Parts: sequence; structure tokens; C-alpha cells
Amino acid sequence: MKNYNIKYLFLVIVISLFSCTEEIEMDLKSSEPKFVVDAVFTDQDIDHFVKLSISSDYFSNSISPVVSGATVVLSDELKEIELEEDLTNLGTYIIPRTFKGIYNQVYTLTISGVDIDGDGVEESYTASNTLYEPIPIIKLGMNWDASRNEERWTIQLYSKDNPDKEDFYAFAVYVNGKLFSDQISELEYAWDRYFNGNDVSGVTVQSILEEDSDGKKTETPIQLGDWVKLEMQTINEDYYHFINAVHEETGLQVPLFSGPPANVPSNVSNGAKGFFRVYSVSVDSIQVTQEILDLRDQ
Amino acid sequence: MQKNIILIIIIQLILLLDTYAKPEKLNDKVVLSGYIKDASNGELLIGANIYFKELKTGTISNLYGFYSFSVDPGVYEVDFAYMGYKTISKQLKITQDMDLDIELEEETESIQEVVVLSKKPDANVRDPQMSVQKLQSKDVKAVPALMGEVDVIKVLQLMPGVQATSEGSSGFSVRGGNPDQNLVLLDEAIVYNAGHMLGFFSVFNNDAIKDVKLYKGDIPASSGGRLSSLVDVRMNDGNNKKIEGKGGIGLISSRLTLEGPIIKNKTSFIVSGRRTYADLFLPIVTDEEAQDSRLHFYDLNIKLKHVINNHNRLYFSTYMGRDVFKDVNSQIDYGNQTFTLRWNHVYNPKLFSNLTFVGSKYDYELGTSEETSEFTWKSRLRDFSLKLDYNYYLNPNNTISFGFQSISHRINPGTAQGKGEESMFSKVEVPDSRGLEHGVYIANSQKIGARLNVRYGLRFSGLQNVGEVTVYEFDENYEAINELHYKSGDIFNSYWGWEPRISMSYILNPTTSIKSSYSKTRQYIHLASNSTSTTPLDVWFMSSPNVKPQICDQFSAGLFRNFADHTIESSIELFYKDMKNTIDFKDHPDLLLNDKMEGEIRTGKSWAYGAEFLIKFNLEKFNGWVGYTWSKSWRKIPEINEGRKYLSPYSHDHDISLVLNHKINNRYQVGLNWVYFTGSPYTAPNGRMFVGGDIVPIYSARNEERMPDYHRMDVSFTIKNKKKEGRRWEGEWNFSVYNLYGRKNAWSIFFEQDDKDPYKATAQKTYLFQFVPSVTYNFKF
Repeated sequence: MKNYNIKYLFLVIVISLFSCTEEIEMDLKSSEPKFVVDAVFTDQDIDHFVKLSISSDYFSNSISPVVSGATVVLSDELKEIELEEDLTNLGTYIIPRTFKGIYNQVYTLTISGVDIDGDGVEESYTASNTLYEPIPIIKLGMNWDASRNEERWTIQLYSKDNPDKEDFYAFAVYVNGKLFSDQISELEYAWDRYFNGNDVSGVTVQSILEEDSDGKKTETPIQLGDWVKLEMQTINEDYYHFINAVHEETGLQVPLFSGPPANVPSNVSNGAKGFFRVYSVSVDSIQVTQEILDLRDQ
Repeated sequence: MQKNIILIIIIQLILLLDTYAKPEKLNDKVVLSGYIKDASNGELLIGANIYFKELKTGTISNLYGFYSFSVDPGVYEVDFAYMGYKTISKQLKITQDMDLDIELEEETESIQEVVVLSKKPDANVRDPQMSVQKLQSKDVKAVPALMGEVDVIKVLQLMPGVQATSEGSSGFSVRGGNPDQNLVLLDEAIVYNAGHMLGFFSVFNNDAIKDVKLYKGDIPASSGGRLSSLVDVRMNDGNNKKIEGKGGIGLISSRLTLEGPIIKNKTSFIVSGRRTYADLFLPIVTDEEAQDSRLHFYDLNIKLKHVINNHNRLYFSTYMGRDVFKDVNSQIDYGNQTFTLRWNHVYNPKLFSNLTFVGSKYDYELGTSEETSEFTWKSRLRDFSLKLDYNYYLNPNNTISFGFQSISHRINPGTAQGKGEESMFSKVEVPDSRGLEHGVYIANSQKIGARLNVRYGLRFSGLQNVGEVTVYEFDENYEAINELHYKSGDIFNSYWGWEPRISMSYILNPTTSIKSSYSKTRQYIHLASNSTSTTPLDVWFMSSPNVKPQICDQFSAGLFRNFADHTIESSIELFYKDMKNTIDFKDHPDLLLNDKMEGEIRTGKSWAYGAEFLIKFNLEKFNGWVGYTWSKSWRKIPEINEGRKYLSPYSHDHDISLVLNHKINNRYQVGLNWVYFTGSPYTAPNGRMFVGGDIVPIYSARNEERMPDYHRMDVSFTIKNKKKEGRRWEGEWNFSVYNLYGRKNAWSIFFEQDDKDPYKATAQKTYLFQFVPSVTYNFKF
């Protein structure tokens, strides 16, 4: 769906032909701690969370220090709410499900009452993002793909892109209600630059890996009767670029296709890191039938 | 049509010059001129020495093997010498203009006694040209190669000041410059992507190549268009005496070359082909997929030479090469095509001309065939160029060259569209960009007294952007704010500039000289790539209202000294380069299929400096060189790295290369090379954050850290078959090992989140080519 896939073709060929990968000891420098915002808000009827933390050394190998006791306010053009901190999970602030998102409104997160740089003066940070209308899924399909030394289920989308505007999408997959792609680096994403306004009829948008290129099999293969759910997120352009950057910075880097490493963008003001992700969601599910399973087992 | 008119005018101009340019008889000087050739096959020899003993001076043959020298009438002892060939000494009574073609025989061990004792070539000391490296096809053959594929680009990378952009790549950086700042010419045609198989092999089939020259600075005024270097590759002309063949069978490829006369001593041909079968080693191919998978490349070089008479020669050469990658779902193929049509004309013994018409093309096409997401994506670059060069041998002390070149560029950066009726993809096309690049030059090579040689020249170059095209105007945040449309044929933007070049050598004594040079170069066409290695998908783009030409001022100075009767050449060169309008790209740029790509460019300045030490030896049993380079290359671009200066990815502080070839006897030969350089600069994280379930790295300064140092040793062993009387077939076995001691040199370093513990991260290194043995059988008949 995007040129990333094409690059990936060469990577697979080159890497399987010539290269080996191994762990290496590196001495990395430390940096001064930075304020990190990890926040989500969608049109779904659930509680959402704002997580505030501080960056740490790259090899700190532990959870980031949290920022507790901040004043966190979420607002759109009509209403405003001050978020309460989850006292059992400090650093996490709850957006209650009663605070509903309205399409085409800009949501602004304002964080104050924190002193990250420790100079005795409290700083304040803001982050804004727009909630767009979701685009409906018509139906889903499933297929089996055993090429490039990997075995996976692929999920096909049937939908229609909105011809009136530029759209950006991200896709997540759930199996029996459990989120399978639970990291940003596992989201698939697309920009309608190449298919604006077109019918999308059976395009692979996500997949469920069953055997990776090292021959390691998943512990939970798809079984008869399983429900596979696709979540299609309508996102804004900034978030699209953020997902793309996270993919580039957390994936394999090779001189052929990787540019110099660079910080992922942020939509938080005042030099803070992280992202306030706002999106609307449309979902559809498909139940695994014997007919589908036969694709794998034939 | 317009092109035809220009061509007709030029031809008329040449004919006009013909009538006027009658040899002048000033001071009653007479001219000795002609061609220097290889006696066995008639190949013209480039850079052969013609030395007048009585005058203690002489000249060298030009790029087409032609030489000319004027003297007072008289009797002279003249030496004709060329490295690796037996020197011929002739007693010549020159009373009037004299045409003299000389055929030199290659030195072979079997006829030691005939070696004429004479002055060995000392051009290294005398010539004002500095920062140049010459290689002949046979030098290249002696160096151990990856998978046995001898490769001229890989040998150039062993020279001081030249470095591969990444392990195994055909891309290279010269004196800290970018890989797109090298002008790579194959018989005067620009080669836009010199790599096969993702760059691990170059497009130059060594069997088809005669001679390679690399100018690292001090580029002659006759060439331009790139900042850092000129790689001038000349193809063999073809044996004009007898039919001959050579070839080789290697682990991943086979080669075959046939050459010979069509009309003896008049018309000759050479055809050289190479095809790989790397598919066989494709581990990703399972049985059912094998049918559909491809991974190979091929090359074809053809050249025809026709001698109309001693004053007119015609050459036609062409190169075609293509790579094909294919698996079940996707495929890509890409390649270069070039052709060159040349007419060498000698007006009179003092005036030589070369008219060249050249075409170059690079294109790629890729596609997927996954049901309805099936699409194709094409990109193409096409050049036509006309070039006229003159050498005017004014007098023994002055050789003037002048000429012009015009190139028409047409680039289609990309067109993508869905296939079939069901396709979801619309057609996306980044419109063609067109431009005309021009250069006019005049240069003189002058001897002043016995010790001083000066070469100075002036080039005037420019680029004209031609419609039809839409140009975007960008605001200070690089957002497109305005669209400007230009009609077909409109010249809507031009850049012009002077490029002075000067170099001189001062001879301290017959074996020692000091040299210095200054050159200005301008570059109008650039590569949209932010990776450190070349890729087949890279797209070239021209300077435009949004992108100024890159400009470089380079200063160099050096000390040259030969030892042991010129069999050991040594040099120290210092250089400083100052570059303006250097191109880099914003973080995470979108470079492909983007009609607003110019908004991704960030420009600033860059500079590089260094010292290069080289000892080259050519002894009876040993030859090779040792090189050491110390250099730094910096960039400073306001929007990158918070405006602070940062190292270019091609900046290696220390770089050592050792190339050694030992002839044990007439049948056995050992080759060895060893390279060491400081690890490439890279950007390492100095912090991390958790966002959306990922450990996302936080970086501080760009290219602040170094990868581990790189070093590697390669060896080769060659066994020649016993020579038998009357047998034409000569065979040799070549065994080689790349990376003999299996050093795991980092190709890239990246950071990964642990699968099981989401809070844990590790550094990973990817390495290539650890201990790669290979065997090749080469033959000649």
C-alpha cells in the first residue's frame, strides 16, 4: 500500500543473501531528561489515558520515571475537563468516557504544574490534534501468505476512500478481542495520495504472523471460530508522519535505504517529546471459517 | 529539428576550420605527430610518453592516442614509452612535418634481454596535473575481488582519498564529497547509477575496459558538472589485427569478449558480455517459488572503430546493462544504457579535434502483483549530449585545448499507476523536468623554462530549466504556497558561472617536484537520496529556482618524489575544499513520487580537508601501493542538527590501504590487500521514551558517534597454465578470499526493543561478507 513495502522486498533479498545480525555492546551518552507525553483520544466509548513521563538513558532497561501531580486539561471549542490522576497508576491521567469526542473538533491538551528542568519555575505544555470523521468498512477478507520465508494471515479491506479530502489511515488488528498490534511500530498506515476517492476492494492492510523468517512459530495460531477484528483509524497528517518516523526509528536500519537516524516529530509544545494521538475508529470483524483455515492447511 | 541545425552548423564550422587551419610555418618549426598503439592489437595508448633526448623534453599522447610535437628541423633521438611496454628509441631525421605511428610491445618476462634502457616515465613528477590516479585493466585484474568479480570501482576505492560509501558498495566518496558528486563517464557517456545488485558490483566489466583515470581534484577544464571527481573510463577499441577472445567463468557470473578486425587495420569491433546467475544462491527461494524468482544482472559492451584515413577515425560504443529482481509478488528491474558516437579528426599535425554525440539513460520499473493492489512504478532519466573538443599543439611549450559541451536532460522522477480494471490506485505522476546544461572552455598547458609547468583553464558553465513544468514556491517552513506553470519550451530559469582551474608543477630535481592547484567546480544535477549508499530507486533532480547549483573551491598542494629509477613513486598531497549550496534533506524526508520534493531539501555549506600519502611501487617481482589518508568532512546546515556543524557520513579520520601483488614466477602470482579506516560517523540515541508501546530513541547530535573501526584483508592466488608452443588458448585459475580473517565489520547499527521484556533494548549490528572464498577460471584465445 505504500512504497515502504517495495523497499522491504530488497531488504529481504539483500539481508537473507549476504548479511548477519548480532548484538553489539555500545557505550551511549546520557542526555538531560525530557518531558514525554503519550496520550490517546478517540471517538470510542471508553476511558482514554494521558501518560506523562520523563525520558531516560537509552539502555536504562526499566520503566520511565513518571510525572505525577500535574494539572492536565483537555478541551475542545465547546467544553473543557481537568483530568484526574489514576492513583493506582501514577503518571497516568484519565479521560473519562463521559467526555465525548465530536467530529472535526480540535482537541487540546494543556499540561501545567510540572517542573521538569528543576529550575523552580513550573512549565506548561500544550498539544492539539483534530478528530476526523471515520470512514466505514464495507467488509473484510482473510488470506494466507507464505512468501518471503514467512507465514502469515493477511487481512483484506473493502472500503471507499473519501474523494473530498486527503485522508490518512492506520490499521490495528485484534484476535478474539485481544489487540495483536499493540505498538505503534506494528500499526500499518496509509495515505490516500495514490488512491484518493477510489474503491478499496480487498487490499491487504494488516497481518497476523504465524511463522517468522527464523522459522519460529507463534504460540497461538488462528483456529476455527476465532474472531479477527480490524480497527481502521482515521488519523491526521501529523500523526501519519509520526507513525512513519516511529517505524523508521525502531526498525532495521541498513545503509541502502535508511536515512540518518532522526528524532521522531512531536506535537507537544515547548520542546517536549511524545505525541497526542487523536483519531476516529471504524471496526469490522470476520469469523474464521473452515474455508479460510483450508487456505493455510491445503 | 533544432538539434539537427546545430549539428550541421558545427560540421560546417569544422570543415571551415579545415580550410583555414593550414599548418603555419612560423619559425620554420616542423611537427612530428601520429598515434601510439599497442603492437599486438592496435589499441590506442592513452598517456604514452614521447621524449626528445636532445631537447630533454617531450609530450604525451592524448585520450585518443594522438600526439604532436613541434621542433626545429634536425636529427633527434626520440623515445616512445608507456608503462608496462617496451620503450622504443628512434633516430629521426625530421626535416618537414612527419606522420609517425608507433606500435609498442608489451613487456613480457620471456624477452627480458630486449628491454631498452632509457628514461622511465616520470610524468608523475613532471606533469602539473595532480590528484589523479590512473589504472589499467590489468592492474585491476591483479587485485583480489569480492566473489571473484574484478571491479575497477572497487580498486579505485583503495586509492587514498577515495572510499566506498558502505561495505561492498559501488558508490564512493572522494575527498569527503557525496557519491553524487562524481562524474562517472564510460566512453564520455555519463553513467548515472554505476552499481549492479544493490551496488555490490559495478557496471564496468573489466574485460571491456582499457584505461581508467580518476581526478580527485584539479579536474581538467574540458569536464565539469560535478564537484568532487571525474572518473573517466575508456573502453577497448577492439583488436584490429586478429580475432581474439577472452572470458571467464566465476562463481556468480560468466564473461565472454570477442574482438577483431572487420577490415584489417581499418575497422575493428569488440563485443563483451557478462551475465550473473546469482539466482542459484537465493536462499529465500522455496521450490514452488523458484519458478517465478529471479535475481540476476547482465552487461553488454559493444564498440566499433573505423579508421577512414590517418586523419579521420570514427568510433561507436554502447553499453547496456540491466538488473532483474523478482519474487512471487513483486519485481524490479533497472539499468543504464549509453551510446557514444565519436569522430576524431586531425586538421593538421598541430590541430586535433574530437566531436562526440552521446546518449545516456537510466531507468527503473517496479511493481507488485498482489491482487487489486497491483501497480507499476517507473522512473527514467535521459540525456543527449554534444561535445566538441580541440587540442592545438601551438609549440613545444604550449598545448591549448578548447571546446564546448551541451547536454539535454530529461528526467521523469516517477509515474505510478494501478494495473487492471479492479485496481484501487490512481495514476500518480511527478511531471518530467527538462534542462539544458552547457559548458565552454579553453585551457593551456604551458612549459615555462625547464622547471615550471603550468596548466590553466577557464570554463563557463550553466543550466537552463526548460518547461513544460509546474514549479512550486515554498515559504520559510517549506510549505508550498504557490504554483507557477511554464509552457513547453519556456526557459524559465538559468544559472551561469565561471569555473577557473589552474595547476602548476615546479621541478626541484629530476626526481622531485612540488605541485599546487586550484579549481572551481559547479554542479547542476543532484541525487535525491538521504541514505549513505546508492540504491536503484534514487532519482536525480536538477537545480531550479528552489535549488541553487552546488559550488566547490578546491585548493591542493603536494610534494612528489620518485625513487629507484622511477620504479617507486611517492607523493604527499594536502587539500582543502570549500563548498556552497550543499544539499541535505530534512529529517524523515519523502523523496520518491513526491512532486514537492524540493520542499524536503535543506541547503547549507560544507568543507573538507585532509592529507594523502601514497607510495606506489612497480618493481620486477612486486607491485602495488600503500596509501594513507587523514581527512575530515563537515557540513553546516541551518535546519539540521540545530544549525551546528556535523560530520558528513563519509568522513573517516584515518584510512589506510595496502595493495600488494607478487609475481612468484611466470605461472604463479599472489595478491593481497588490506584496508583500515576509522568507523563511519553515525547518530546514536542518548535517551529513550515510551510512546504507544514502543521504546522510541531520542537523538542528540547528528553523526556524533563512530561505528567500530573497519578493517579487512583479501587475498588471491593466480595459477597460469603452462605455455605451449603453437597453442592459442591461455587459461588461468584465480582463487580468492574476501575478508580473510572474517572480521565482522558493522554495515549498520540499529537498536531494538526486546521481544519478551518491553523495557529492555539492545544494540544490533548487521555485517556482510565474512570470509567469502571464490574461484574463477579466466581464458584467452
